[in-house]
Amino acid sequence: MAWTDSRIFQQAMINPIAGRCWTTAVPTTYSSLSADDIRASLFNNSVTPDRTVAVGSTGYNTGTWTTGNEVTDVTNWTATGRALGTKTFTVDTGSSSICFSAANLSGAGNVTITNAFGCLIYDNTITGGTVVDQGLCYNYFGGAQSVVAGAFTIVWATPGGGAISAVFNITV
Amino acid sequence: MSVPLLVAYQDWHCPECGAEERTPPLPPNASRMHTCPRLHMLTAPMVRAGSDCKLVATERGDYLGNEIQATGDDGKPYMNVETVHADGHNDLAVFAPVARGYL
Repeated sequence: MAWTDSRIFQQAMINPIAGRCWTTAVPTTYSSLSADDIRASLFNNSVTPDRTVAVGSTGYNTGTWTTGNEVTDVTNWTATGRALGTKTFTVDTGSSSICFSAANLSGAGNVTITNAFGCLIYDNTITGGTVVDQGLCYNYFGGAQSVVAGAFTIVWATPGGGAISAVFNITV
Repeated sequence: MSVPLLVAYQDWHCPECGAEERTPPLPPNASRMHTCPRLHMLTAPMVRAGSDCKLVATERGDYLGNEIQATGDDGKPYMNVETVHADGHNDLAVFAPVARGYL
């Protein structure tokens, strides 16, 4: 089974997102979503995203998220993906959710991308404890996305009733 | 001797709705977005003035389920807006759904 939806990993919810709720050791070298290098890597339709997998299978280049399934451009959207910028973590009253937001994400220049079906959002700063480069969530685009020598920009959606766009949100 | 003060700018337009904007010069891969009334009120890129191209909104290719993705004023979910250039290359603005969790 390939992509079906967009989800936060259960293991990311328990640590690091809700890690302060318990005496759980934070992932090694993890600081915060604001300070860490949070990245988006593109993947093909050979992955099988599963929000319930063990933490060891949520990281970049672990589980289904291996580099063999990654979609890259030679120069401007290389392996390990692109870093998110202008991040925020705030309550959106309209959607009654906590939103992790970032600026729309583009390549470093024109790219050639073939059949990107979705992206893995992961913490490139984490070096262990949970898993290296721990995944936070995955976002399914809803079909194949291909571009030839052009701009590729990910535009994050806005939750229903909400006022701000979000990479992921937690309804409370 | 007086020296003329030149102010550089970049003109943008939407080939669908005709919206126009003028900005300071931006990097080559920069994009300007607007809400396009001719593309179901989706967030769509503007192109540099003089570009020979058209914009095409693509409906989501898979079942929507409980996903939250950009939806047009026609009620349909869209997965991207493609800029199709006359020289054969294209640009994509991909609408990523929100990854969701619950507490």
